[in-house]
Formats: sequence, C-alpha cells, structure tokens
Amino acid sequence: MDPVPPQSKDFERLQRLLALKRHESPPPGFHERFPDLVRSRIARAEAEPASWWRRWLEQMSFNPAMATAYAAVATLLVFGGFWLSKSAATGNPQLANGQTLPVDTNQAGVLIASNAPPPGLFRTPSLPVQPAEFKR
Amino acid sequence: MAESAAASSAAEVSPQPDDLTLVQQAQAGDAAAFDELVRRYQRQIYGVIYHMTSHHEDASDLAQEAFVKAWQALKSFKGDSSFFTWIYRIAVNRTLNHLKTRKFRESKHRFSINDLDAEAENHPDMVALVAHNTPRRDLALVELQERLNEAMAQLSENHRLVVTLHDIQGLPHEAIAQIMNCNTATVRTRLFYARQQLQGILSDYLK
Repeated sequence: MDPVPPQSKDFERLQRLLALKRHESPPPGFHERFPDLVRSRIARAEAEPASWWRRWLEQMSFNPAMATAYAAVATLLVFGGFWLSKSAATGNPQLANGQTLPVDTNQAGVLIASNAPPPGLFRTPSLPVQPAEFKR
Repeated sequence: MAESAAASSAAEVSPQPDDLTLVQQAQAGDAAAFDELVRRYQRQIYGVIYHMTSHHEDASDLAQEAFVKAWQALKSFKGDSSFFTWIYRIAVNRTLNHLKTRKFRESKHRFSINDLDAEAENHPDMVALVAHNTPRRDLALVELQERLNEAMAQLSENHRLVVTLHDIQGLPHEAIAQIMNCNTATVRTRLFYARQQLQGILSDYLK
C-alpha cells in the first residue's frame, strides 16, 4: 500500500487555480440537446445490434471478474492441453517399450488389426534376373 | 381552503424520485426515467471526460457512449453501488480506454474566451490572477486556460483523473476510491504527487 503523504498547505493556491476549470463549459445549448443525442444513439444502436463478439468484448470491459474467469479458463485449457500432449508422448511406457508377443494368427477368433495383406495373397513368382550384357 | 392550497403546492413541488427508483423504472423499460438520469448526471459525466481529454467533441462523444452503454447494461445493475458511482465508472473506463488507444492530441483544441462561462471572468480568483500577471486580460484568460490544460495533459491518466475528480469536481476521497476501484490512501497519494507535479508546471501562476 502506498504511504499516505502529508497534506501541504502550499496546495491551496493550486487548488484555487484548478477550481477555475469548473467554469469551462461546452457550447451554449449543449446540455439541453444532450438527452436527445443519447436517445437517438440508443435508437440507432438498437436498430443495428452489434455483432456477438463486440457484445462479448463489451461485457468483458463491464465485468472484470468475468474477464478474469475467462482468462483463467483459457490459461487452464492451454496448460492442460500442453501437459496432456506431453504426458501422451512420454507418459505411457508400457505401450512404447512393452515387448509385443507373437500372436498365433491361425487361431480362431484372433483378429489382427493391420493393413498388411495376409501372407500368400500377393505371392509373385521370383523370376531369375539375368545380368545385362554390354554391347561390344 | 388552506389545506387545498397546501395540497396543490405539495403536488407542484413533488419530490424528485431518487436514483434507485428511476433505475428500477428504466430497467422495466421506462425510457423517460432513463432520460431523467441522463439529465441528472450529464454535466458531471461530460465534465470529467472533458477535463480528462481537454476536447469538447471527444467529451461529447464519450459521454453519449457512456450513457448508451449504461442503458444497454442496465439489466446487470444490481445496486451494489450507487447509480452515480456506476455511471462514473463506465465513463471513466471508456475515457481511459480512449486515451490509451489514441495518443493524446498534440494539436490542441484552441480555447477561446467563449469556452469560459460569464461567471468565470468575474470570479475573484480569476480577476486577481490575470490582473496580476498581465494587463491584457482576455489574452491572459485564454493563456491561463491553455496553461492549465497543458499542465493537466502532462499528468499520467490516473493522476489527472484524481485531480479532476477531487480538485475540479469536488468529490470526496471515498467516492473517488469507489470510482477508481482503489483505497482512499491510494487516492490521497496520487493526489499529492499530482499536485506536486502541477505545482512545478504552473509555478509562474502560483508565485
């Protein structure tokens, strides 16, 4: 907390000088017209409602608590996502390092989830390869 | 006879509804009640924005915006603070945002003597000040006004706000603390440093 400074009597003249600014006034008739200006602006705003994101931003500026809550949730989601992605990459050693046991595929009821074709489906005869001859 | 006269005079001088009643009526959709609230606070709201921006058009625009936003957000007004504090907060926040997003105008609004009301010219302090400093009274008035606005513009936004609310508008520290959402000690501290700075800038007028 800021320390409370002592009040100085030297400020009396300054205060009187600043008080003169109270006499600055808008052009004549301004305050008489002002309620009409506000009313017409309200009517214009109601005729052309603002986009949802603009209303959302307005709501944020009116309600700092809600803005803080949104920020906290967003931060939580970012950090949560980061943590989850990191733990998914390194956090399950059984899947990454576990030894896979050979599965007997000939047994009934064993289903292999693989894109590899079953053995022998695309059996191609192995042709003898003859070396090319150089032309003489 | 006397009773009927008293009744008629009571009806003529019926007490103005308080802010909360007007707010409740406005919340129920009564535009006339909101108009009354606008009329009640427009001078103060315009004043605080004007002294923060030193620009009539900006002050007019921002003051209108503040009341439009108040109307739109009126449903969310729960009465935790007074309507006065609430509308001031809206106006102050919009003004501070405006000042942040747009650099303070270097090309200052040229003030004329017409910007000062007739009362100001005959105010004893004003008369004493300008008579003491220069015989060319009109020119001195304009110069004084410009110097005051320049000095205010040199303050930080928070310092300018606290000087405006306290020394120009005459609000008590507690009300300023509520508007600025800080404690009264902070208000006093800001006021002290702002005045100290202003005293240095305006030393010619304070001798």
